[in-house]
This record gives sequence, structure tokens and C-alpha cells, in this order.
Amino acid sequence: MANRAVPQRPNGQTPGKICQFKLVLLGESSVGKSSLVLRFVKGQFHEYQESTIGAAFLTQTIHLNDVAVKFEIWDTAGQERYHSLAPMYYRGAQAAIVVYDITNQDTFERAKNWVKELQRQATPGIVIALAGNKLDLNTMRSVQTDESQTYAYENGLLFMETSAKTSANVTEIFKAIAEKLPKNETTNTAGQGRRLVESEGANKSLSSCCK
Amino acid sequence: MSSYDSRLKDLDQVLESEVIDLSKLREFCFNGIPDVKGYRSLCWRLLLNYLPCDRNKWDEQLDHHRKLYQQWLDEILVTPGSIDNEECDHPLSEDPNSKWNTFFKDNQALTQIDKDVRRLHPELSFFQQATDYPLPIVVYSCGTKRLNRRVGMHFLNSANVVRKGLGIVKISQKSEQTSTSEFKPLEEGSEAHWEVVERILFVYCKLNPGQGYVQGMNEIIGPIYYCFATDPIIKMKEHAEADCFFVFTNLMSEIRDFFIKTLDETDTGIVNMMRKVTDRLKENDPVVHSYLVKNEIYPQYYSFRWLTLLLSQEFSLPEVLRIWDSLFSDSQRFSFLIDICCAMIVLIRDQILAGDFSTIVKLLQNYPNVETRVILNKAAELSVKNRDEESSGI
Repeated sequence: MANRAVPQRPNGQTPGKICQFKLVLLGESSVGKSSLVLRFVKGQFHEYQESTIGAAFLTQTIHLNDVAVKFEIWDTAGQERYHSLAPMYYRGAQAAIVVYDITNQDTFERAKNWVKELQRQATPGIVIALAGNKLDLNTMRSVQTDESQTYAYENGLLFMETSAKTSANVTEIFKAIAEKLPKNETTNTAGQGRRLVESEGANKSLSSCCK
Repeated sequence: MSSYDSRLKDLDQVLESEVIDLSKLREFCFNGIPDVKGYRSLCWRLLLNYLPCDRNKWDEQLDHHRKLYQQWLDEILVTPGSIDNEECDHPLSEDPNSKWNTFFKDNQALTQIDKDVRRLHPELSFFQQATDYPLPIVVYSCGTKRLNRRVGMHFLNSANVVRKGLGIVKISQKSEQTSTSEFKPLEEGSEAHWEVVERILFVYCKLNPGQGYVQGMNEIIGPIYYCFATDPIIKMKEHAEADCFFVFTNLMSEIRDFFIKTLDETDTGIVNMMRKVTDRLKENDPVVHSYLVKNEIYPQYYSFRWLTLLLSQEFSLPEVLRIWDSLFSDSQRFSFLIDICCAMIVLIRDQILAGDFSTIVKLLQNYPNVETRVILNKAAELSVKNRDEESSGI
């Protein structure tokens, strides 16, 4: 499949398949959800990021072999008051990143609750990644890596420790999610929003590259 | 005389009468309060019912409230253990009346406030600068009364002690989190504006225990504090903290339901407000309305934040001040907010109608550069139209 000769686009990109996925970020406030997204989407970091009210929407596309994976990212508000809005963002999502702050044990406990809620109420088969953020503050760590690792393993989650500040593992965690997401479905799943959208140009070659 | 000068003269006339005509003042302020001579800070105090219309009562009113605020501070900023007759109370007490118990509980609220005030308008340097009017009992307390010092102190009952298997208890070191950049508490003798805002929110939280602090209140108090703490009239500026507390409290009494989850579905709750925006859009631009519906662009994606924060995150601070002049002058209180939201959508209808889901959500969440004047004019136009239609029974 990878060696198949494909016509080149004028800009040199292969007209591969485009897969679009809805991804939601959840976690206690101030663990760095918006910062992770800002780093992933714009390559920027601000020490002080204004608090998210409701949810912020961003998109970013990454390339895996000949597949362009477009993430529609919903970055949600962390505080309890805004919890009731969360289902509308994780409903129909194919992926979720649950974020906690490695220097704060409470945020790890909160993350576990989010994982439980997702496992109970989100789309079955949703890919969940656990991100222990603020790795740059390693000296102030209060959540140990092996503890999170074990928890993630037992619950079938992807797990990485990240730093939006230094950008450590930020692209990596999105990439790991993209790799785990099924890219062989061609139809929309009813009632789950825009699950898979083919780009106009790629429509015709879809049947040949979708395996 | 230029039209600007004559406007100032008009405003002076309204403000100088012994008993201020509130409807005249509203009418004037609706079109924007001049950015000079502390007009805005005075007018907001009047429009938000902190100052009475009778000028003769101003001194007494201000004096009374400022003293009251000081008294609350004295009570609220006390650290348990500092008073002698508390021998039976101790930090591990489970007595619900224990001052220590309350102290640790308060610290949880304070932790949230602290996170949010440290990221208040990060694009401006104002909130990180020192105030000219620090609170002496705080800034000369060797740090003990600085609220941000208390943040993280509720860890006593959670984070430091980790119980591993086999009963091994591990005490993890909790080193004090030192911030490397701007939002640092200032040195002994001075404090930054964000520390003052933190204190006002904490007092509000203590005095309104049913509601507490909700994220977003920081964005409501920010512009008010900024307006009061930059007042060119020194005798007003030096009381920015106390006055801001009362004006913020009055404003919150009108919009508090936006911040209470259990009231979401009530008449005054956020869901109904979002519905009003959608309905007004449907009346005024059915094409855009149905396009948004068709593309599954729910109001939660944009108008939730617009309404909850009174648009304070959508525009730059000077623009927010101008928009709030009109909002606070609205006698029906925030019916004009619905008109502004509707105007914001109608003004970018062409971009919306040409966009797909992603483009439209991004557009509405990052509102493009449209002059405030244009938005407000459009909103006023919609508001007149709606009022006419209502009165003629359409």
C-alpha cells in the first residue's frame, strides 16, 4: 500500500486519504489543557493562558504515511460549574485526552473520574489518552510515573507525560492517538456527528487506499 | 464648541444636578462615556446602583461602605491560631465550627481564584503592576496575610501523604511552587493589582457562600477594577478596592444565575439567554439562523461564553469598557446584550454563509475585527426594530 504509485499534487503532497476525527480535552482547571492544544496547533506557549469558559474549538492536521489525519479539537473548561456542558463535547468524539498536572495529586484523581465518565457515557471504542502535563516541573512532582502508567495500562489508555512549555511529547501524544484511531471506515456513523469526511480531491481514490 | 466638548458639557449638566436624573444619565451613557476625568468610574457607580442619585448622600454612602469593607477584611483575613482563646481548636479538628476547618475549606476556593486572577488579561501589564494603594495589614505581615500564600495549604488533607500497598506511607515533598515570570506576589510593602482582585473575589466568595467563586467571575471583575484603579480622580482611585467590591456585587446580583449550574434551565439562566439570542437571530436573519442550525452550530459553542462573560473575552479591554457603558445603561438590564450578540452574528453573515462547520465555529469564537461602533449601532438598530414590532403587536 505504501509503495503504490500515486499521482503528485502540484504542491508535492500525495492526494492520500483525509480522515477527520473529533477529539475532546478534559481535566481539572489549570492543568494545561488549553496550553497543550495551543502548543500542538500553533507551536506557541504562554505562561498565563486566559481561563477557558465553555469550550474552545481548534483544528490541526497531521500526516501519517499517506493519510492526513485532521483533528477537530474541543478544549473544554475545567471547573465543576462547566461540567454539565462536557457531554455535548465528548458525545460523538472518537478520541479524548484526559489531562492532569503531575505536581498535583488532586488533578490525577479528577482525571480518573473523567476516564470513568468517558468509559460509561462516551462513544464505545473511543480512544482515550492520559496526559500527565507540566513535566517541566518534574522537581515538584507529586504523581509518580509508575502510578499513572499502571493505572493507564489497567484501563487500556494511552499514556504520556507531557510539557506544553517545552513541547515534550505534545505532538507525540496526538500522533499516538492518530495511529490508534481506525482509518478504514468510509461511512458516517449515524447520530455521531461528522465522523469521517473525505476531502473533495481524495474522493475518487478513496476506494483504492482505504484498507 | 466641538460636538465632543458639548457632549462633555451635557454630561456635566446631568451629573451636577442635586438629584441625578437616572434616565437622562442612562440615555447619555448608552452612547459611550468619555474616557476622561474619571467619568466612567463615576457613571458606573451610579448605573450599577452603588451611588444613589441624590448627590448629598454620596459622602455618607461611600464612607459607610468603605468602612464596612474594611471591617470585613479585618474579620476575613485572620489566620486561625493568631487569637489567644482558641486553645481547643487545632488544624486537625473535625468540629464543623473549627476555624481551622473553615480555613482549609476556604483555601480550596482560594486555589481556584488564585489560578484565575494570575491569568487575568495576560496581554496587559496592568494587573502585574504594583498598586499605589496596597493594604497595609497584608503587605506588612511578612507574607502571612497574603492570600496566595495560603494556596495549596489544603494539601494537608490530601496530596503530601501517599499510601502505597503493604501500608507503606510515603510523604511526598511539596516544595513551594515558585513562579518564574510576571504574576509574582510583590515584595514586602507592595502588592500587585492581581493580588487586590484576588482579595476582592475571596471576600465576595466568603460573603456569598451559597454561590462561592465560579470561573469567569474573574473576567467580570477585571474591567470594573481596571476602570476604578485607573481613575484620574485620586480620592476615588484610592478606594478602588472597596468600591469595586460593591459594584461587582451589584452587577453579580443581576447576572449571578449565569454562573449557577442548577439555574441553567430557569428564566434567568444561561440556557434561556442563549435561546433568546437564537430567537432574535431567527426573527432578524432567518437565512443565517437556519444555516447555523443546518451546520449543527449550537449556541453553546459561542453565545454561552459571550453571555456569561458579558463579551469580556471577545474584545480588547478598551472595547469592553465601551460596550459595558451601553450594557449598564440598559434599563431592561441585558436585553441589549441579546441585541449585541445578534448584531455580531448578522454583521458577519456573509462569512458565515460561505463557511463550513470548522470555519464558522472558529469565526464565532475568535470574533473578527469589526469596529465596536459598528456593532453597537447595528445592535441599537435591532433593538429599536424589535421594540417597535413588540409594541405594534407583530
